[in-house]
Amino acid sequence: MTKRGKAPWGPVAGIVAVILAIVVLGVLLLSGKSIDILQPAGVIASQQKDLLIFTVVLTMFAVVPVFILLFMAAWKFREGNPKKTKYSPDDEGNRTLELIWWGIPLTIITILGIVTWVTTHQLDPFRELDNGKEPVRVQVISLDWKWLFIYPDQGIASVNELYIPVNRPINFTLTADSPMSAMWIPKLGSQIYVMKGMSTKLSLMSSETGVFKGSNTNITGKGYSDMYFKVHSVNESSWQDWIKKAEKAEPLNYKQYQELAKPSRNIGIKLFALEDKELFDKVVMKYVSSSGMDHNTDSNYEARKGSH
Amino acid sequence: MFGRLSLDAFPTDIITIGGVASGGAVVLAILAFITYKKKWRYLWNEWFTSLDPKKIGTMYAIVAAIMLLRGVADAVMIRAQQAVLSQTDLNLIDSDMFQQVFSAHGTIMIFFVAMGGMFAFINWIVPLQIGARDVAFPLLNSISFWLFAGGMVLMNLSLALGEFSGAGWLAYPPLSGLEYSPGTGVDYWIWSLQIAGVGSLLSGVNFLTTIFTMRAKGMTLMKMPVFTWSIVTSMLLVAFVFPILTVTLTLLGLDRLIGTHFFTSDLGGNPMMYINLIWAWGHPEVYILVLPAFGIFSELVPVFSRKKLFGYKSMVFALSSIMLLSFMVWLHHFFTMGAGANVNAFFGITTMLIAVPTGVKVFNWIFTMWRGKVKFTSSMIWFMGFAITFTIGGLTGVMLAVPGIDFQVHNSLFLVAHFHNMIIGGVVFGFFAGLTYWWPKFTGWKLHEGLGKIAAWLWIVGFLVAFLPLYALGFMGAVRRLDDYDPSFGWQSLFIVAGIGVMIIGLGVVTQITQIGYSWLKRKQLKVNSDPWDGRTLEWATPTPVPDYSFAKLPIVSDRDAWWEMKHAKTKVPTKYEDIEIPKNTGYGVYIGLLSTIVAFSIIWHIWWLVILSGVALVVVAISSTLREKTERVITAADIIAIEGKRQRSVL
Repeated sequence: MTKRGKAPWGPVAGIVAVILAIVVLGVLLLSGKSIDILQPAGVIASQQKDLLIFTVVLTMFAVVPVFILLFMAAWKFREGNPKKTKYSPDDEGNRTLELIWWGIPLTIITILGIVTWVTTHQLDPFRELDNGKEPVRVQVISLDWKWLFIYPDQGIASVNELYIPVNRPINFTLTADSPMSAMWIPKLGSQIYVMKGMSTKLSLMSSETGVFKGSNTNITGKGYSDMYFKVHSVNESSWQDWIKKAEKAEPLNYKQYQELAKPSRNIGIKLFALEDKELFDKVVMKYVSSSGMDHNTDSNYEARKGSH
Repeated sequence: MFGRLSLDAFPTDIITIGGVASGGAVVLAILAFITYKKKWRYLWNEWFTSLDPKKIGTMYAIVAAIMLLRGVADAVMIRAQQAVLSQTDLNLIDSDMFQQVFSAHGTIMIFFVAMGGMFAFINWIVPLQIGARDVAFPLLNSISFWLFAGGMVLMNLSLALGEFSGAGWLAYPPLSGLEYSPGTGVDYWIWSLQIAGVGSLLSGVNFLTTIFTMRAKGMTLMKMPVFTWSIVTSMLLVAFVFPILTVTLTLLGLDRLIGTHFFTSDLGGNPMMYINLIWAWGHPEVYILVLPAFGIFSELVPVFSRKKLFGYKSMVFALSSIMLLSFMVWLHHFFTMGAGANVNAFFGITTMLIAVPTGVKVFNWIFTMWRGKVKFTSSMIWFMGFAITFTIGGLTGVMLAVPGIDFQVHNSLFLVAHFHNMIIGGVVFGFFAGLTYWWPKFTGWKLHEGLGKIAAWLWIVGFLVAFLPLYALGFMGAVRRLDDYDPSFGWQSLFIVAGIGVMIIGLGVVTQITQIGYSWLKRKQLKVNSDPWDGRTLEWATPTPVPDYSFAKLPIVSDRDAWWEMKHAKTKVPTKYEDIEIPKNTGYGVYIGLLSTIVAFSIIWHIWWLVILSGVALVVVAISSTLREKTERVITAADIIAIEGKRQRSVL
């Protein structure tokens, strides 16, 4: 009681200093950098950003009272507070108060639960986007350790580089010929896991031109970090130019695919003219067929084994 | 003769050799020291063969503390690579090694640090809190510990012999399958977790039985201390989910050993099944760890606020509902696998529901402080750090529970920041708070408070500096487990800040080691009586250090804060004692742990004759352990009077 202002100023000053330091440092470190999720360039990512902000604001109705009450309790009822405060050592609880704080989070979660139900359906990666324009089909194969993008309607394919026209829905069909991977383009939204012998779907749409980053988010072995790729969101005519460029590139059939699918790192960007239009289905089906491992997987095995 | 084991199994790269050499040197130095001091017999008789839960708890704590050092060293390597090394031409840590390092970091921190720390507290505190002298199955408890220790030894052996798994801490197939991971790393991972996991399962059963059948007279379930309640919920989870882990690891092991196709991508196998199973264990596992931490805070907040716990019934109800809900949320770990909107929305909502009872607990802790007299000891500093970081972690957890948001941040560093928020801010801070709080009960001297407060602040600040940048990096598109990234992304400065945070945490660890060493040197000055914090629960009713038999006379309970009531009712010190039977020491725990480790080791290296030999020996030893004739030893009333007279007592 008599030790005036001793203990508590330390912690309070510490907390204030920590918060200030975080804010200042955060502003310094983040200024001028691309914060993809908060600066979306696609319709899905924009909705996801709004949902994110809504959730943060909603949960603040519980978080802010918690922080205020926590610091008030710590400050006011600290031992040695020169101000006389109430002391009720046998206070076991208070039904009304407890009902209030069962009620606050329950209300928040009820609201958020409804929003979750609705948005989970809206943002379902399987739901194909429709803005009246013709969608672009892209087939994606995750390989050790690169991405293969096949444009079946344009008859071309590319490795580690995705060109998409702005403001047109992109309907991805994805599979893996590697350990489980996931494709994520933060500026456009939603990632999705891809696995061998299975194909999955994802529908995204870019609303701005620009170059975005895309990545694999699930570890697939030693070349995993090399799987960042560039996404070029361009206008229709640039996209057509790029297609023309690819049409003149070397052909891609199943045999060349097997060569490409062998584990390799940092092979850079490649363009192909698609010769085998069934390529994607063949890659999916080779794990479904009863014969099991094909030659490609065997060579995968040897390559991995050699590296250990 | 030796299966896959050959000279190639020894490491060749400089960092691993350095790790092995320094680790080996420390181990050898300790062994030499023990031999020099002629302490082997003492260790064997007083510790290794002991069935006293207090001593077993201490052994758990020592293993966990050593593993914490390795886990922190791994963390330092991860951040060193991401902040500096990857952006230079030095190829000190290559991709292979980096992946082994983060896999080791996660596995060791969860299975050996967090689980070990938790079992330390359970062994130390639960029997004392319920007024029991030992546990329901004392030998089983020793076996559990030695299985845990065997798993730890095996896991660390992979450093010197073979390799660590590079498939992440949960080893998703097909990456962890034979096709992509033909080496011994995943096998080490499977079989060390297998034996440690069986140990945990046995402990779970043991402590449930102990709590349900051995409580002091008068202690009804609703009069149990909240820490013991938290252990009931946590051990129920253990009993229900560890069998899932055992089966899952066995199936993955069979895929790798005899070529079954449970989790392969071809011939009808399905890796998604593994991911479901491992999270059906893995999500409850998180609550297995954090519920005891909640329990610890529920003990020390009332003590340091000098006030009863606010809303005991709410707290118990919250613990129980968290336990039940935790079974129903596992799918949120893979919303992005494409289960469909209905399924994702269901699991999203069950996940965010957990925030309700958790929020209630935080409010109740705050209102325990309200109208109290709060003493800010270092334990309370840990509590404040916990309350802040855990609330932030809860907020990001609710964000991740919304599938629409999860699709954007899953497997990014945002996720990494979130779960470290829960595990460090929740579990680790809880354990350190509990360690400081209960330390004097077992040693008779307090840990130095000043150093303890510095350590707590270093951890809290270090945690924020280390993990807040990761939230930002996640928003910038940085995924987890990267050993390299394009410098043009502009991430390096944030990784450097995160690295500085790890160094601050490292300073915290150094401060804690100093704190323990310094307090030991000054133990005469720091000497305290048996109830230094003016405790409320039965563990403080025992003399300090706690004698083998814990309670000279078994207590009779009439109130929730049993010891508090006894002190205020001025319960008389008993004058007449009776003989006490306590479990007799036995080496069976060590033998069974050792043999299990040999079985696992020979499976990993495909030394089949040794598998059979040690397997048969294991069965024989296990059976003969049940045939022991004399399992108890008697402490006579005269001895008790002599011991009790020498110990420090406060009121009784």
